[in-house]
Amino acid sequence: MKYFIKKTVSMIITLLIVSFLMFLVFEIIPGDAAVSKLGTEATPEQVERYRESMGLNDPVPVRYARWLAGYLHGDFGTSTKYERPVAGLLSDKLTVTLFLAVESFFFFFFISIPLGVLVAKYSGKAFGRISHLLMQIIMAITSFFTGILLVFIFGITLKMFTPYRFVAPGDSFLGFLGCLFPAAVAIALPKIATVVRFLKQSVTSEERQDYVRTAYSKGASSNRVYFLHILKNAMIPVTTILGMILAEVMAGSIVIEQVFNLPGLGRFLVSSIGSRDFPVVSAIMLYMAAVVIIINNLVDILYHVVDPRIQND
Amino acid sequence: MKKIKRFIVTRAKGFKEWFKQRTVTERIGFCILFLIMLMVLISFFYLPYDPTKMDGTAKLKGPSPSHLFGTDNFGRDVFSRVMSGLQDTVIIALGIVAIGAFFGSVIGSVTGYIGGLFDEAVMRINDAMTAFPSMLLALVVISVWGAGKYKVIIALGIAFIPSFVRIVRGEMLKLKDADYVDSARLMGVPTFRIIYRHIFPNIMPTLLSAIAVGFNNAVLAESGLSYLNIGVTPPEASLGSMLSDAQGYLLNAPWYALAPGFVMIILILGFSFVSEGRTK
Repeated sequence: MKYFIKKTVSMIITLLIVSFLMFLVFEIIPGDAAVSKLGTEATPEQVERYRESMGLNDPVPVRYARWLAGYLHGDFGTSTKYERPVAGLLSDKLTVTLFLAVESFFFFFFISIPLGVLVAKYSGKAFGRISHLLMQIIMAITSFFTGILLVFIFGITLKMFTPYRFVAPGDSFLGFLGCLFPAAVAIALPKIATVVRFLKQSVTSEERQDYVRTAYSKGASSNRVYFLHILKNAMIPVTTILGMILAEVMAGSIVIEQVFNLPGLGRFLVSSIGSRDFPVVSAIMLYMAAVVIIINNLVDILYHVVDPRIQND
Repeated sequence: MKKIKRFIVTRAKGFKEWFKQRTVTERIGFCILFLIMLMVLISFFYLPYDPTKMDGTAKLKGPSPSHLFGTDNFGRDVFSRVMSGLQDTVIIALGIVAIGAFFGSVIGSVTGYIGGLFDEAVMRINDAMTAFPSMLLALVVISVWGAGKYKVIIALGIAFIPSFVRIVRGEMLKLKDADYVDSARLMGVPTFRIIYRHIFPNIMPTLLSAIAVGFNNAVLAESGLSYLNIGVTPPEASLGSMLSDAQGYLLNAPWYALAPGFVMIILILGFSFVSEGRTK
C-alpha cells in the first residue's frame, strides 16, 4: 500500500513536470500569440487589449494553472489552423489510433508468448536456431520498412489487401478492423522479435530449476511443464518489457500511420507540425507522453502485485 | 623501410589473432561494418553518377549494368543516391551517438561517483526524460525549431543522453568502491584523474556495446524522422527520406524503395551482430 501511494505520487509529479515543459515549449516559446493572431499591422492598443482579454499579461505560473485546468476539463484550446476546438478535432483520430493499438497488441501478445517458449524449448534444434536468426533480422528492419515490405509483398504482388484504403468505423466496423490489420502487423513484428528474445532467455534460465525436475518426475508432459510451470515464472522479468511495449503501442505509431495512410493521431501530429498548429501539437504530444508515463507506472505497480517476492525499494 | 614492414607484419598478425578470437556472429558483423564503412569512405571521393543530376530519358528504369539499382522518377541513379544517403545516415547516427555517449558518460560518471542527494536529483530528472519516448522529444525540438540535418543530430543526441547516463552510472556504482580505486584515493590521486584514468577504462567494454546498440537506435530514429519529412531536408537525402519518396512508386519501380531499405537492414544487422557477439 505504501508502495502504491509512493508510486502514484511520483507519477503525478512526473506528469506535472512533463506538462509544464510542454506548456513552456508550446505556449511561451512560439512568440506573442496576440501579434500572430492580429497580424503585424495591428496597433499597439489593439494588441494590448487582446493580450489583456486573453490573459496573456498574467505571470507564467498563473497561465500554467489556467492552461492545466483547461486540460483537466477537456478544453485543449483552439486549433489555429482549423479555428475549432482541438478536442473535437481529435476524437475521430483517437478512435483510429486506439483500435490500431489494441489490434496490434493482441496480435503481438498471442504470437510472441507461445513462440518465445517454443524457441527456448527447441533452442538446440534447427527450429530454434532458424527462428533466432529470423528474429534478429526482423529486429534490424525499421518498422516503416516492414510496412513498405508488407504493402509490396502482400498488397501489390499477392493482392491480398488493397493498400492505403481506409474504411471509416461508422461505415463498416469489420472493414475498419480489416484495413487496420496490415498496419497492426507492421507495428507488432519488431516487438514480437524483441519479446521472443527476452522470453527465450528467461525460459532458458528457468529450465534448470528444481521445480521443473519435480514436475517432470511427477509425470507432467513437456508441453505442460513448459507452458504451465515454466512460463508462469519466466513471465515475471518479461512483464516490464510487455508494459513498455503496451505503453509504446497505445501512444500510437506516428510512422506506421504515415506508411499506411491511416488518419490517426500520429499523422495529424505530423501535419500539424508542418502547419505550426501548436495547440494541436501540444495536445497530441501530451496525450502520447501521458499514456507512456501512466502505463509504465501501472505496470510497475502490477509487477509488485504479481510477484510479492520483490521488496519495495 | 624495414621498420615499417615489421610494424605492418606485427600489426597484421595481431589483427589475425584478434579476428580468430571472435565468435562467428561477430566476424560476420565486423565484415559487414567494414564493407559499409568502405562504401561511406568511397562515397566521399567517388560516386558513379551525380546523385542529384536528373536525366529525363532514363526515368524509372529497372536495374541494369549501367544503373545497378535502377533509376528513380527523375532519372537519378538510385545506386549513387543510396551511397550518398548511406553517408548522411552514418554521419548523422555517429553524431547522435557521440553527443549521447559523451554527455551521458560525463553526467553518469560524475553523478555515480558523487552519489547522495545530487545523484538522487539527477536520476529523478533522468527518469522523467526516459519516460518520454526519444522520438517525441526530438519531435518537440523540431516542431519549434524547424527541420534540418544538424537540428536532427542535436535533437536526437539530447534524447539519447539519459540511457547512457543510466548505464555509465550503474557501472560507476559497481566500481567506485573497488580496492584499486580506494588505494588510488589513498595515494592522493585527484578525483578527476581517478574517474577518467582508473575507473573509466573499466567501464569502456560496457560502454562500447551500449554505443553499438545506440548507433542502431540512432539510425532507426533518424530514418523515422526523415521518413516523415521532418528530418533532413532536400536536396540532402538520408536513407529514410529516400524511402518516403520511393513509396509512391512501389507499383512501377519497386527497386527504388527496396534498395535503400535493404542497405539500411544490412547496416543495422552489422552493428547488432557485433554487439551481440560482445555480450556473449
